[in-house]
Amino acid sequence: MAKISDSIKIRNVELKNRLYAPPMISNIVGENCLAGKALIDTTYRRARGGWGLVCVEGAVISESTRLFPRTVGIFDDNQELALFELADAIHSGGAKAMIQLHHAGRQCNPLLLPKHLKQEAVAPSDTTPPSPFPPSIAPRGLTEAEIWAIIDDYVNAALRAKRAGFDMVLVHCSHGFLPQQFMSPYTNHRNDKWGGDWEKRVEFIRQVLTKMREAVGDYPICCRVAGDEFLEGGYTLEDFCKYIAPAMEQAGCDMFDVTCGVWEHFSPVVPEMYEPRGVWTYLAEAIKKVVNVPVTGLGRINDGRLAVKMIEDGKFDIVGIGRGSIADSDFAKKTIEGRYDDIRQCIACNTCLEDDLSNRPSRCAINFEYDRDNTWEEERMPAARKSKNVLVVGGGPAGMELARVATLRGHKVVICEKSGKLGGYLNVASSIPKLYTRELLNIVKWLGKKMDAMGVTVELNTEVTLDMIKERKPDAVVLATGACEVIPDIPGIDGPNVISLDEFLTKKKPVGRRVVVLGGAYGAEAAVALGREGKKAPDSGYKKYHKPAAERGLEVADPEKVKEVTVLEEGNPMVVGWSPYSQIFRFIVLNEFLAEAGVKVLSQVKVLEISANAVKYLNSTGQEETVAVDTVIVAVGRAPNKMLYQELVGQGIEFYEIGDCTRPEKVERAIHSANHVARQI
Amino acid sequence: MADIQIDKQLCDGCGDCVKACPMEIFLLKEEKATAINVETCMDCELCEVGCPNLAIKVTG
Ligand SMILES: Cc1cc2nc3c(=O)[nH]c(=O)nc-3n(C[C@H](O)[C@H](O)[C@H](O)COP(=O)(O)OP(=O)(O)OC[C@H]3O[C@@H](n4cnc5c(N)ncnc54)[C@H](O)[C@@H]3O)c2cc1C
Ligand SMILES: Cc1cc2nc3c(=O)[nH]c(=O)nc-3n(C[C@H](O)[C@H](O)[C@H](O)COP(=O)(O)O)c2cc1C
Ligand code: SF4
Ligand code: SF4
Ligand code: SF4
Repeated sequence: MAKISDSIKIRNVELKNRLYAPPMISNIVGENCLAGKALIDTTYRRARGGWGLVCVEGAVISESTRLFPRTVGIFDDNQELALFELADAIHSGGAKAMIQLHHAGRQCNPLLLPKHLKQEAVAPSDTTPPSPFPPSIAPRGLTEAEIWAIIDDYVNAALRAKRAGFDMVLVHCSHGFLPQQFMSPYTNHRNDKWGGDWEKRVEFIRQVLTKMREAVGDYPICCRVAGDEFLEGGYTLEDFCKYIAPAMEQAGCDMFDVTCGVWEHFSPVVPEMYEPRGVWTYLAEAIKKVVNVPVTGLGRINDGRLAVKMIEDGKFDIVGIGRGSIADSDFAKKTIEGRYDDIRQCIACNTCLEDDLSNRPSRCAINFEYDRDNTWEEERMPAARKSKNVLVVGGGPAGMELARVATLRGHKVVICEKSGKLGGYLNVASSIPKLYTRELLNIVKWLGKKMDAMGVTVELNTEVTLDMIKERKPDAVVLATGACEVIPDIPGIDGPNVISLDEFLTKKKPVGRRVVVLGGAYGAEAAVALGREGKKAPDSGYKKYHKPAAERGLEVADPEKVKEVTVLEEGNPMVVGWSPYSQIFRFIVLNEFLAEAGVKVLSQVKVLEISANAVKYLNSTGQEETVAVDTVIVAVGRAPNKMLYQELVGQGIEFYEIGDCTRPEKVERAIHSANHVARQI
Repeated sequence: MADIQIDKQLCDGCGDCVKACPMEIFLLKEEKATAINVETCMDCELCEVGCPNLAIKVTG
């Protein structure tokens, strides 16, 4: 039986163990495509966390392709010095170094290309569907000569990687990028040497691998592949195992790093918290059965126990921990030492990816250090000049993180929490019926253990008032009081058939058969939960995406329990499923969930009145309509809890505010604002 | 170590937990879910959220 701590060879390079930190775009590279201090520091921090293999994010092999604004470049010999720094950082941390070679093809954003180049995206065919990413500009089909030039770019990039000191390269053939566009009947409509049937569609990657091998010699060339495209008209796992994997192995692929998907559906590429842990590791398991080189599996593995099990069961050879390595760079070390509960587990909120797509530095909601230079490291934090008695008001994630970091700096911290347990709103947000959001509790559990271990005093069932502050006389007060629900002023809102989102989620009030959810941003998850009542649970994973949308409805299991759910949203359709904590990624899946659960969604409406059995509203064209209802759930928004703040102003007391009580947002704000303030007190 | 409580009264043996648990902790015995290898449970609560009959309670 293989163990996670066993070494393994990829061609001629030995990894010290089976743990792999895969490529992840940081978006902190200079616009000149050169890695700076922050990326080098963060890469080193990860490498020293016990990984056998660390891969640098997707580096563009050509000046004329770009998906993210700030990407590492590997298309010019002048970039070799910066590349050397990255490889060196990985080696210094004790891991083997890999770099990913990337060409976006149709998924290039032409507006990001240098001005001296034509602002266009290229793809196998003129008819290849445009990129699902805005601005979604239709691509142009490549000529024969251009294809060979791109193959040259791949080869030259691999040579640069080798010269810069990387132990191996990873050709990006997944997530719908260029090599996959050639493999897939969805994107390759050619009828020549490069397309027409399976044999021809793999010709591109075959040539890339063959030419690269001629150039680099006995040097590992690995490929990141999509085991299944999960797309109507795309290829399936069976196709991949039958036609693609054997051809790639024969052409010299030394390792298969198995992922999946295309960006038409965001979730398969970087799965949401709604999906189970290890969601598509079965793809790697299947591919391992048809190839003879090492295979890596990954996907929503955020627990060391699961990583160990995958390797011990022999499902695949190496286990990738993507976001898990962002949330805790020491994941590998802790797993090998069996310190599973010490791992700060990723909550799969996708803040890190959201940042990339919004052209912000990719930051982690729960690991403040990630993608920052080493001046932000906790171990370099200066001790407090004076140890203060700090009173934290509120034991949500913000208050707990503040207590942890301020204690590290030498302060004496007391948390007072009004309710009977720590975790604040995350206790509610993680208990949506029939929708898996429990990952949100990971950070609560982890911080809770830290509170115990560090000896932070926690006083539960203790509501802080101004009088109490005056009596206790702390040196500093930190308000982490969170947010409260907003109840709009609509005739009938105080009726007995109206409940709030919190009242629904904390199961304080029952819900009738016909339900109207007011508010599509905050209310989307609750609407999904209600829409799933009485129906067979949707299959986890993404096989459903092979079917057309109309065929993805849920099967009724218990007609008695089925609810009729309508969402009324005043804003435009983009608001539905798009709250401050659930942005572009979840917007797409949540709308998919709403549709398959048969929830009726009406946007751009104005709610006029709620009566005992109906809600009256103006529809998007301004006409008056009604919908019959037994229960109305109000989920229109949250407002900062400012009560104590207003009382404290002008009292001459040192105080700070963190988290949702500054502006209702998400875990990221809670944790990050806590870190800034804790470094300041 | 997590504790897994299965309410045999509520459990109807649908097997959803067997499919859901990434650690392969459940078995169906006489049409009721039974937890084996409890010591490897990672307290993810996928089983609890997924059980249609609210028969499972995991405490970390
Ligand atoms: C339905 C829903 C789903 C969500 N899902 C997500 C998600 O998927 N991802 C994400 O990132 N974010 C999510 N959020 C947002 C997330 O819950 C908050 O951003 C986060 O909890 C804010 O943390 P906090 O510590 O600032 O405040 P809170 O978590 O609200 O904690 C504040 C604490 O202060 C206590 N308190 C208040 N006043 C006093 C007082 N006077 N004395 C003592 N104690 C007091 C409260 O009891 C509470 O425990 C969701 C929110 C909602 C409403
Ligand atoms: C912020 C972010 C950036 C990513 N960038 C890349 C990338 O550059 N190349 C790549 O192949 N995959 C990229 N991925 C995908 C991850 O490598 C990984 O396959 C995916 O997150 C699933 O694994 P996980 O569930 O362990 O995170 C990225 C993921 C995230 C969250
Ligand atoms: S930002 Fe969220 S999804 Fe990304 S690594 Fe951190 S916890 Fe995980
Ligand atoms: S999911 Fe629930 S009802 Fe189904 S077998 Fe498991 S415990 Fe029993
Ligand atoms: S909590 Fe997770 S690991 Fe434990 S039994 Fe349930 S599904 Fe399995």
